[in-house]
Amino acid sequence: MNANYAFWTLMRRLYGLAFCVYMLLPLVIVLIVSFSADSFVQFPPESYGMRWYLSAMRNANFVGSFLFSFKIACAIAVVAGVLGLLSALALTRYAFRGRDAVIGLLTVPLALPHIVLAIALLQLFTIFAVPTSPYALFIGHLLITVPYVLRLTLTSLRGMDPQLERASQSLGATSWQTTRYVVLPNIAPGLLAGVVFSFLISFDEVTISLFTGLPGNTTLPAEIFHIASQGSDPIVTAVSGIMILLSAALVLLAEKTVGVLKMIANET
Amino acid sequence: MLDQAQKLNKGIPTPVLLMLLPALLLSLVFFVIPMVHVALTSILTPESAGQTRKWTLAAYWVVIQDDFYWEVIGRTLHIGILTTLASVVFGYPAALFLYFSRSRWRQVFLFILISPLFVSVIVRAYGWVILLSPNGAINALLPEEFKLRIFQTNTAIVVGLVHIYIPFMVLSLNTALSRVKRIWLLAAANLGASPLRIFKDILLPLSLPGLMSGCVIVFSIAMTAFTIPILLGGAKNKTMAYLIYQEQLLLANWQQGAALAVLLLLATLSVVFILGRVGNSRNADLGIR
Repeated sequence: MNANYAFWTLMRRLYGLAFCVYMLLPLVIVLIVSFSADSFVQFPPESYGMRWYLSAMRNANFVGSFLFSFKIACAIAVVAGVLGLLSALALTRYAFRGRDAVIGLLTVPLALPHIVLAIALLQLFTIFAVPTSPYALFIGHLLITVPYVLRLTLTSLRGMDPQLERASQSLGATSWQTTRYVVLPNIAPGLLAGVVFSFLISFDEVTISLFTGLPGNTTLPAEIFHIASQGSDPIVTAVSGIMILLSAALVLLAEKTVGVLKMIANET
Repeated sequence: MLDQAQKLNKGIPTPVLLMLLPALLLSLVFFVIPMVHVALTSILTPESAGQTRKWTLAAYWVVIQDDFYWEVIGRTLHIGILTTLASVVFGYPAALFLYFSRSRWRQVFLFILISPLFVSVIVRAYGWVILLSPNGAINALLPEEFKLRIFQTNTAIVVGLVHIYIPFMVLSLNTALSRVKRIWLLAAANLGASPLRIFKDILLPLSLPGLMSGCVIVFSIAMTAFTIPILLGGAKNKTMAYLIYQEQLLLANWQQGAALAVLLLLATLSVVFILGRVGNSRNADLGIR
């Protein structure tokens, strides 16, 4: 009995360990190899240094696409945040016919393959001779980020005590004052999580960016894709290392401020 | 009072309409219209000067006639199914670990499970390229006779896809399992049920909705994945997503690209629909809808 228990405990630990190694392996390997100073990607590296980080930072293509990605992601975070918040407020404030249909319509792009969205936007923008980048790219990212903000904000709004709003109104606050000083502070964590998600989703997205990006006006992941599809390249490894470190910093920040992980795991 | 007055009003109040308008416009102009347009492009002859466009199913006929397309469709389905099965087999124990564990390692495990989601798919795919390629990191550590030869095969694609989508499976299972009260398991154990019996008769049926929605999510995104199959499968293991890319961007054949996109969407939606039906009828049997 005791031996049996010890056996299963061991198995459970081994499984947990193997699972964690599998999840972390590709990220850790990129980080290790990114600090190599060798002329080509090899493992284990023969020499270490910041050589490829420096050459990535001197590479006009990577710097340009990084700045482009960053600008798009910031704009997406703001616009998706505003659109998601406005529609979430409108959708919870009044019960009207067809409300579920509206929620469905606004969240359905999330369920569609990015490649189908990408091809649809590319064809439409080309017909009207509007440059696909940054316009179609921005719209594509917006379509897949608004649903996140909407859902997270809706969840926060539904979790709010309805008495709070009534109390505020009965104390003479205007509708705007109630929204600004009662509702917004209460749903801030959900909204903030949505905004952070939107930034990261836009910053990380590959497929839509690849279809709609134009030379000189494309995102960092699309730029990485073009080079990585030819094989491994030390400068791409360094750029990937930068992306991992940036994501890690942002996730830790979001976790410290609003507890993003629990929100994703649906645990309270 | 205010609420009631507005609820009685049949129409949507103006401020609500104004608040919804931006998102609705975005959705109509840049989602509904482009999707309809793609569907039309796939069944109309290409635009050319002096000719009216005609209805045609030529682009679909090309796919039906050509064995190459069938091979690609088969491979895409194969990869979708394998990825889903592997996510269930390796993800279920992880979900059970999250359910049972109360140690501090639980938080660490959750963090390791979720945080890769915040790193770009392209970076994770590239990590697998470094790991799996013939002279990559794994082979550097393996002795000559055990070298991995899975780079640019379906196996490599599945390894990469499972890595990206398994968190969705585990989280979906976790949501379902979190509704199972531990006291039920204790009661069963007290009445003499073996751990296997507890799993089979309590945990598995009660987590079935989570399992089904996990399968729907993983399958639909694995079927339509683009980055991983190209980076890990190479040019000889083309999937539907790669063909769409090829027709649209490399060959500029809009009609064919649109038809393939419609087919991919239909194939995905039909499997999702079937999985959804199976999930619902099983739930209805168990009375736990």
